[in-house]
Amino acid sequence: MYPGSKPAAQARVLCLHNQRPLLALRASIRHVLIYMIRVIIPYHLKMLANISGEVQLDVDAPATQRAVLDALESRYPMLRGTIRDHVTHERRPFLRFFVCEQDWSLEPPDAPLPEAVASGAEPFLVIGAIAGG
Amino acid sequence: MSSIRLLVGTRKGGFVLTGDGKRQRWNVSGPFFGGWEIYHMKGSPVNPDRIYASQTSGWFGQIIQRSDDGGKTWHQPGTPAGEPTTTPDGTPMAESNKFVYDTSPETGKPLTTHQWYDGTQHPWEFKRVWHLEPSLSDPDTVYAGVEDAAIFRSNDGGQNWHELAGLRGHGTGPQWSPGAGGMGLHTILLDPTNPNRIYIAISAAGTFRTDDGGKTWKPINRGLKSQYIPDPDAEVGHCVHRIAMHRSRPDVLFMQKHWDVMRSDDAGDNWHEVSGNLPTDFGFPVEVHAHEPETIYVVPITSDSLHYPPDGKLRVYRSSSGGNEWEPLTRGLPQANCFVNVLRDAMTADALDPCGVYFGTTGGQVYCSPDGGDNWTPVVRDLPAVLSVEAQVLP
Repeated sequence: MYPGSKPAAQARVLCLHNQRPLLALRASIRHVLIYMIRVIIPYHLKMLANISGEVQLDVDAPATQRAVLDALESRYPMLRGTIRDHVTHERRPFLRFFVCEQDWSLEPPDAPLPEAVASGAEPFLVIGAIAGG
Repeated sequence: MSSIRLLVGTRKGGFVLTGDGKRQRWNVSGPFFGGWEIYHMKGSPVNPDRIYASQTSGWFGQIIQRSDDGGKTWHQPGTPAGEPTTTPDGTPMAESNKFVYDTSPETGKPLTTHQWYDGTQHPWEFKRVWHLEPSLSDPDTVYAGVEDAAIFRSNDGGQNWHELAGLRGHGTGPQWSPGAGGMGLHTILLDPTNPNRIYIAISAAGTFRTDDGGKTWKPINRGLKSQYIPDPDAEVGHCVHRIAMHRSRPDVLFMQKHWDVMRSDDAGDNWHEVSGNLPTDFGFPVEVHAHEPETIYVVPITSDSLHYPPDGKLRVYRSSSGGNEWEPLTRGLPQANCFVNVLRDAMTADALDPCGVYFGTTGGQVYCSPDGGDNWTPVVRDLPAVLSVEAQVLP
């Protein structure tokens, strides 16, 4: 079980890297697809949230940029406003979103992320612009 | 014996410098929030161990940090280190970095645009907190001056912020325009004798005052003359760099404008120039001696195009007559090949006797004068560019 995962009592079946997520059966007997998304954020945001390495998040299907960022900010409220605007949810100008070596920054926030990200094989990257001194 | 704590904000983090009462021996701690711009740190006059810090970044936006132990440890208000960041139902405990302009219908004001560089109207966009001013009576109340210019207040120790929208909404807001450094509200002065009176200053809009605790505001710029704007005597549009007061005489204000050092003896209703014999009256900070209300300090800078001291000589100028007659203070300061700047929030005075005066430079030096400006020594020489310096006297 990875850090921050839901309790076993929820009868969630862990998805494995390079594998589609399996059906998760919650205690309420609802059938919900849950993806395990790997997220890598910049150094300064890791420091702010007091985390190291990558973040692993449970995201209900469909896995989209919006869903990933909602889950990230829910887990780490101190990151609200640091990646996207508090109110409009627009991406901050000096940050970009990369997945599978592609720039997804300008993709619609509700577009489904690639299979490799949804499966956990590839991370969702939040990248800071290279600038400044 | 009392000691001194200096709160130093820099381009790459915050530092706390602790000195003995003689201001001879110093201990340096930091950087806190390394790599982030720390625009300003300031402690509560009621509880000196309660310190607020503005942590900001062009990449990641605005963070407010708070220390409750004199700068040893920090946390974002509402999310103490090691404690849950959300309520049991998942709601964030606080949103201390959320500065949202008030557009509520109750204000009934066109608060959505100001003048842009090309003369068109431009939406108000929050960028950063330039200045934090803790209340004189309540450690949980703190004001924030922000870019694009507005004033916010928190009544819960920095957890939640609400705009005092009457400032932007009083009528001249759409005429305000940013200077080259942005449209920042950089000065907040609280009247110690009248809790309903607050002065603020904005680049490049001017100086404003409220007499009802922030509900309504009015421009107080009569007497300012700025040749770089279409109407030099305009009600707003002046690039005020800093204002200062002595707490014993809150109706007397001193101003370093883009050009000109100014003085008001009637709470800002009227201003007159007191530049006198300064070698240049361009500069950023102005500060008042802690015990002598007519003793003031400025740091002349060559010009608006050349942001370094004239002739490469770093000189603080002191007037003991409230302006007009100035003397250069040079002992201990570099008098050759010095081309640093001193920014608007980077000069302060302590309340010890004799009064200590401090300033930080864009070259990373923090200078201390333990004798009111007669002699100067560097406390540190090699910090990142200094944005702000505040002094606290500790028992």
